[in-house]
Amino acid sequence: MKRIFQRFRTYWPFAVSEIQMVMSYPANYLMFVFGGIMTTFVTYYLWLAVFKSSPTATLAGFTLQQMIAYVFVSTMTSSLISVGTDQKIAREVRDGSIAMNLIKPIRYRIMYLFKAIGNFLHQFVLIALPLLFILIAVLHLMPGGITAVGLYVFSFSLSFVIQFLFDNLFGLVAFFTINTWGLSVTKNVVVAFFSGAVIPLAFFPEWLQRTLLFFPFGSMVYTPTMFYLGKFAGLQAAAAILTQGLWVVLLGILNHWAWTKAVKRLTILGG
Amino acid sequence: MRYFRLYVMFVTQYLKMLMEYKADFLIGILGFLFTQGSGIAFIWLVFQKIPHLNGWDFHQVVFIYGFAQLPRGLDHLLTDNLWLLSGQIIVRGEFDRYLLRPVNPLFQVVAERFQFDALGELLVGILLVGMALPYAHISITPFKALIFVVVILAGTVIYTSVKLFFASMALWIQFSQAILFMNYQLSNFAKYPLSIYNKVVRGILTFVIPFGFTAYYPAGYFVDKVDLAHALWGTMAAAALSFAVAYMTWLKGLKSYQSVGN
Repeated sequence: MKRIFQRFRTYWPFAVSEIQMVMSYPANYLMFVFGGIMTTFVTYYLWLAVFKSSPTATLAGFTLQQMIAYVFVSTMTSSLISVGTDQKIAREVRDGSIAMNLIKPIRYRIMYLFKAIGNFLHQFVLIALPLLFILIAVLHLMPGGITAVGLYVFSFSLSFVIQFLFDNLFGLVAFFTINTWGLSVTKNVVVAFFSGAVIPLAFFPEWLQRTLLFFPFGSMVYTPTMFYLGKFAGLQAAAAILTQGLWVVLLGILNHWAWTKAVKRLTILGG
Repeated sequence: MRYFRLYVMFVTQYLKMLMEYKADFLIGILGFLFTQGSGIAFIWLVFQKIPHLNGWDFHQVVFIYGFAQLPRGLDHLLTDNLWLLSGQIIVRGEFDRYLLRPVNPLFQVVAERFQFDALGELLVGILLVGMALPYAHISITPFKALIFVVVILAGTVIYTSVKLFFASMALWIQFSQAILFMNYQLSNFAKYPLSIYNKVVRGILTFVIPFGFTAYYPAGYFVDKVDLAHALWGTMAAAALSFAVAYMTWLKGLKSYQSVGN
């Protein structure tokens, strides 16, 4: 216990520094945030029009209310888990500063975990809370019960870890290309689409839904959001959590393997 | 003429740089292809469940979506350096060199960078418009073709003007990329028929940041949703007005510009 506490004290400043960084230019940061979630409002209006034009009251099992809640909660979830770890690691690889960080007496990836937590915290205050406020206080859309919220929080923590491990792996592509911007855009779009951040996976054709079950994407956004809405229950809920757990383990192993390899390669190049 | 020769020289330099990193160039294009591809997939999935969207059928929505990419992509291709102007050129004190040369500073800023990644956007736009044309009940006449070219160019001017206006703010406040980004993001509303939004959003996109004229109003004309007057004269007026405002702001900014030092 004492060791964990000490660890925490060592790494906590990394989280704080991330928060201080965005807080040094609060107005600019807020404008970036607002611009980033603007597409949420486009999607919101789009769904209003879609349901108005629809001959049926539910689409792929979603009512209009559920769909609007889905739009807000999935945006919140995907912004809270995407903290740009891949971009930061890629930058360090590119400009060589990763070497300095690797020889410090700290664990590189734990440092980044804490940076991710710092980013999570300020995004929680500046993105999640306003979105929840609009959803609950303005649009009067409640979550699907107290268990739903509890399951959401649990499932969210798993998806946070999945995205973190995934981004860690992705940061390594900086070894192969300098246009990490283009690759990151591509990755973000693919992840957003197949994780359910753009449209609920329930809208996909059956075969694609089944195929996507084997990828980590659905575990990132779709699963927690469906828990929030109270749409996963019983066996389906258990399977969803199990899948998430499985991905944490798998990506963890993959991560360990790839990093050991990459760091070795780095020592050969460095000097 | 002198400016044209200069521009060719600038672009050749940039091309040389690009050829050094061929794979990265392709990756950049890929990024845009995927971004727009996901948008279209979204529309397709939604239309599996509904017959029309506010009176627009699938092909008409694809048409406006593809149309929206064209002015956006053209502007992106030509004036991407305005993003850097708002974000780092002035902050790093690199702006002074433009003022020392005997060539129009705005021309230099714009000509310095040629963003080939935008070819992804243009490709998607052309593809979607081409795919939608046979199905969206659009009759092709020389007159319409001419209008098409004119409104696309006018739409490009609108994009450039919005960027120039907010990038010019950096001449006073050094860093204006955040406010530029926020306003540029409004263009995401223009990809769909404006009729799905409420009055406030529609008003902003028509009279304040006129992105509505980069897609909905002109594209609507071709699918018989908007009359010619609004589509053509509205778009031209919006382009002329926004460029006038943006360029005046730029000139004013140049006058009060103070270097941060280098």
